Amino acid sequence: MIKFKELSKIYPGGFQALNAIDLTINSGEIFGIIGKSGAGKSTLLRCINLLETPSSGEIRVDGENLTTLSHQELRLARFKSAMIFQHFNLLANKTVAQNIALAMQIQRQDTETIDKKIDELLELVELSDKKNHYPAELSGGQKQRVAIARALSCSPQILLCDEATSALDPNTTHAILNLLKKINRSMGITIVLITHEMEVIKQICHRVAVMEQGEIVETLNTEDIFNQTSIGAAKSLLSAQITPRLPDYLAESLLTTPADNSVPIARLFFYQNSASTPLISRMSRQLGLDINILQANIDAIGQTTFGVLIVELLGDKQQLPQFFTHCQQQNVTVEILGYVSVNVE
Amino acid sequence: MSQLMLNELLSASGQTLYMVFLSCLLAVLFGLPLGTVLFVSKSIKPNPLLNKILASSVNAARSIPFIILLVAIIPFTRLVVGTSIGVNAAIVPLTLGAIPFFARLVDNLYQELNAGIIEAGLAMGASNWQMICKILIPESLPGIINAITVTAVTLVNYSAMAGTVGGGGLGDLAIRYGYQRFDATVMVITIVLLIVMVQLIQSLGDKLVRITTH
Repeated sequence: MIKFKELSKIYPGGFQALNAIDLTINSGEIFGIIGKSGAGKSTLLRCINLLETPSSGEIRVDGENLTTLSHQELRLARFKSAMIFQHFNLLANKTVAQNIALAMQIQRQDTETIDKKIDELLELVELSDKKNHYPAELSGGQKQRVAIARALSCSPQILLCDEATSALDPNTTHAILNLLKKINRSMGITIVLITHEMEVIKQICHRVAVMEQGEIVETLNTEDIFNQTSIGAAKSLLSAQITPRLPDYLAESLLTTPADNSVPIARLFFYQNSASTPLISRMSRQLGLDINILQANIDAIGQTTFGVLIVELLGDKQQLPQFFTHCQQQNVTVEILGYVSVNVE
Repeated sequence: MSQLMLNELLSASGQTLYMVFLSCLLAVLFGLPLGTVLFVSKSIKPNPLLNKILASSVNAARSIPFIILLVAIIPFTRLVVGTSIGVNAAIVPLTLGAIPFFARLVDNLYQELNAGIIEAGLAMGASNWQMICKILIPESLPGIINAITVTAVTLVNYSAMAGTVGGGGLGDLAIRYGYQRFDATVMVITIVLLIVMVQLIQSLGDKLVRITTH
């Protein structure tokens, strides 16, 4: 469906936004591209409708090589995809209905078809009562729904989502993602979305690519994030994102090297079966360690449970290496965040 | 004040309004496309050469003080309207002075638009023409009305200068009676009339901006 081959983009000034990207996105899937800001995900997404012109390599959509198209052919190719944005990009001086009509007018559909389609779409996005309102009168979630209706108006094969939920609160994000999922299922539209939140990937994506510094470092099925034995890019991103922030008082007193009366603070990242095993209490008993849980977060993707614990490891220091080995055997990743001084009683 | 003077004032006001209205209309007619091409050739369909030529012409024209422009283009004025004296002759320099002014205002308006809506338009596959007619102009409409108001007010000001070289209108009257014949009453009345005129233009413009802003 969408195929990138050796795709590179170097901006004037020398910044390499994309470096020899090879990627295939299948028809009908919801494909997520995740990465930190500046990783190149936005540039990659914009290559799919050539809002960004790649410096080299090719991009094929439905077999058609976009980079060789003439201006006119490119316009027609763009008719087959649609895009929604982080900041919605609705026209402030047009009503909801007029905004939805825009794409259809650009494709020169007749007024009757347009009017009918507007009502249909408004029903789909549950905004029929806002038909003649202006964007300024809508909430963020409602604006994104209008943008989605506008994007669907010309029955595109591909829907490109540029951080579509990043400006929305968690509840609205959830609702918008469900709407996208529904659209993907009922209309079979291929959805490519970029985000910096694992939460979004987790909720709707079938597959995910992790980008770092203009390169795709990992591509995998969302549910496979945990099945690999090594800590892949996706997994480390996930563990970083679900890790709660250390309380300030603790973060400030954290030492990088152990001192005489200090104890380690560790982050345990566990997933799959290990999450359900009573690991902590068992090891506490067996090794005589006092494990003080400072913070915890547990979540799930599909059937897989995963979580993060921030713990203080009190007790016999001699037992620590054994604790680490034990964790490894149980597929629990341990990372020492630092040491804090304690007054041992 | 004599009936004669009153008639003079009335017809001078009419002349000023006529000059301002017609030159403003022409300035919009030429300036809107010019400003649009200025923006499109820079941001939507880049054409550096065309953009450079237009931008420097607009800058050059805007750097000529109006009073100089008025005199400098007399041969051209004669060519267009057949004379260099009178209300119709004044419209030529007024329009020429206002076109680059208005075009630059329009270009600035487009630049202040949210770049995202232009991107959205491109993603929808809009042609340049559709981009202009369906996105740029409708989204800038309140701003364009505001720019027309500013231009009209500037033209009231310019039209008084045109009066000094025989262009007619309130400026001409104020110079002839108020300045050359020391008739303070006429001077005060013309000033009041000009103030009222500008106020009316401004409030009409503001009202239209309010109606078109959503």
